[in-house]
Amino acid sequence: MFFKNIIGHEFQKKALIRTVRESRISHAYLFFGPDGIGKRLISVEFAKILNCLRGESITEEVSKGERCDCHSCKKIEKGIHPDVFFVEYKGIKNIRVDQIREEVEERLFLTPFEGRFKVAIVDEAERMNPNAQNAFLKTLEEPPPDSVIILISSRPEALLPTIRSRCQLLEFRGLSEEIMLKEFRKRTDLSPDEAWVAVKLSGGSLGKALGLDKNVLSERKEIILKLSEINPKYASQVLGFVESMPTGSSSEDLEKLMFVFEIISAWLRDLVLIKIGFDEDHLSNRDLVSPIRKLAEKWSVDNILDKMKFLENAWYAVFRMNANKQIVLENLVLKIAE
Amino acid sequence: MKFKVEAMNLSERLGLIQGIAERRATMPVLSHVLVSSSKDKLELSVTDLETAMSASCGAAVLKEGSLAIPARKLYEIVKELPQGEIEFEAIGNHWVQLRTPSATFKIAGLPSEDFPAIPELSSEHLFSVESSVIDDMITKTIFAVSPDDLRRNLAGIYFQKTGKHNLRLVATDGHRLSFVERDVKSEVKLGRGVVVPKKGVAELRKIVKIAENISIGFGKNFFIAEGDGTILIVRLIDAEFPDYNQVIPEVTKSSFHVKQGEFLSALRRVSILSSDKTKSVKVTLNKGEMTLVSVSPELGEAKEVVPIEFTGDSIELGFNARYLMDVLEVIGEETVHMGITDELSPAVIKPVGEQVYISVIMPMRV
Ligand SMILES: [Zn+2]
Repeated sequence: MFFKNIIGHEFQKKALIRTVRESRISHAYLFFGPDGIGKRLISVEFAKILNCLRGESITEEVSKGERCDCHSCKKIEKGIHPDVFFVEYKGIKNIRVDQIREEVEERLFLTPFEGRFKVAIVDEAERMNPNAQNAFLKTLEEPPPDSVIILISSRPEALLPTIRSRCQLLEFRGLSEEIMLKEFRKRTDLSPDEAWVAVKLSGGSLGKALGLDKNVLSERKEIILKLSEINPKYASQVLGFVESMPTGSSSEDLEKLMFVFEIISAWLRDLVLIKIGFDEDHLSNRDLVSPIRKLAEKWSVDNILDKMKFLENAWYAVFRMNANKQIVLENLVLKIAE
Repeated sequence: MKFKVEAMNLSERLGLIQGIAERRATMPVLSHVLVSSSKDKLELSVTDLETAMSASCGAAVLKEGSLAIPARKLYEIVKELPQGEIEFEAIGNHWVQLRTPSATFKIAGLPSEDFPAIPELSSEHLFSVESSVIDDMITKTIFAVSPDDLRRNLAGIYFQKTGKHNLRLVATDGHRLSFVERDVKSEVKLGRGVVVPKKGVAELRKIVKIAENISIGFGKNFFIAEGDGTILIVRLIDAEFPDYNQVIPEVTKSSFHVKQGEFLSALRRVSILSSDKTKSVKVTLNKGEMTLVSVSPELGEAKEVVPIEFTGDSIELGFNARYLMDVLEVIGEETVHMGITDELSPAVIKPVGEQVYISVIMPMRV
């Protein structure tokens, strides 16, 4: 019943269940691996197992039946369990010492309120600044009883070695493309080709694949075909294309624009793959093989790599530097079409 | 959920407990009071996750049920209502309607399942103590609790059973230690010693004020106190209290008796001139007298002589005057015994008489 909605990571799930079953629960874990592949979801499920009202026996029936609906599991799911808390710093570069004190230590030093274990889940743990990490080290050295700290990080090398050495390490890898495609198609009604593009663009993260903008995804073919045919001599074609792109005026629209960038990037990568002799199966845009082959004959590898570099710079200018989008996009389209 | 309750009763009960509901709630439900109606009464509960309080009050229950209602809002409405009955009714979607003959209020609540599960302890785990006794024990120890965030295991009062009817309370901040023991007359139901956080002890004093006798008890993770229908639940500190016995000297090299009142008022006067930070005072013992001196570079020097029964060798020690005064203020005995060894060893203060109360204070350099 636990881990039911989490795909893949079979080894990691089994390892965690085993620690509970054999009462070898560690005071601290470090879950590391790429972003967006389910580390946080697994940590939440683990917190549920540690506190489930159905007791320790639940581990016997972990993989069958329905999701547990005991009060404890429901509260953890809703994020309102008094003993399970998340330390998240979306958008904050530095997690400071006082934040660690307030949000982790002060909540760990009392006995559990209603569960068996207090569970602190620290997402993006690498964002702790060195002082915060040192403060945290103190907690890890003398962990309060009945507490489990789960650090989550995509950059474990940014954590102090002394922190890493006090945690039980659990590495997570992205899902394989086959598993992703299967799961993705179960959950959406996209065509096989479009589903494949979504998988390719999501780097092993099912969550990311499912979160992709379906409208933009359905316009992908059109975007690529239009872009392939632009003649840079005709300003109207360049301007016309830029006009058809998302303006990036709202945050939602900005996401769409970012997605268009990813689509263009994947298409350029396809061109390189074909140029250097890769099989069509490796392409992201499997439904566009012939226009890709046609263009590949016209463009040199260096030319395409140049365009990719240009795209990358344009990405920084638009999404990080807040440059004038219109001008950057016009230059980008001109560069790609040349 | 549907019931009728006297506005005054409800307002009085809410007033007792609503202070615990968090204003700046990390979890929205923590700013709520859980209202449950069953049989012929209401149960009201609030918590800030460190402590929880419940109170019950009689009501005419028409339909059993429960709902979390914003605590402050509810209290403010109920408190202003004229005497008489209020009818509460859950009207769906977690809304509650309050009706009096002349007014109607609709308040948005939260589902009761979202409310933290308030721990309970069956009555066989409780034992009764006189409120005045437990209050006195707290008074005699709470000042020594460590204010230091980094020493969590000292951030509360240690409760320990030392005999069938004997309860001991100990507190220390590493510089001083106070321990008091009383025969509480009923059987103390406590296994291993536990540390009750300072904040929870402060809440306990509220319960002590409303009832002559209270029942207390200890769960695996909780301290519980019950008085006049109000229940306090305090999460314990999840750490071991240090072995304090080794801090208490069995014997001191010399000792003397001094009048509590004379010693305390002399300290008060002399310490006015000691620096604010350290409050240091020099204590010199000579045959038959104790001289207290404090020196401040800005304010000058204060000196006072207190008569004592002392026949040992002359000696000079430094103390934090605040530490001495804290003990003397609560010791509750006219004559006080003070034992000292040298300027580096702990001094002991205890009442001359029956009561078991010991304070240990480390001297300081002056
Ligand atoms: Zn469960």
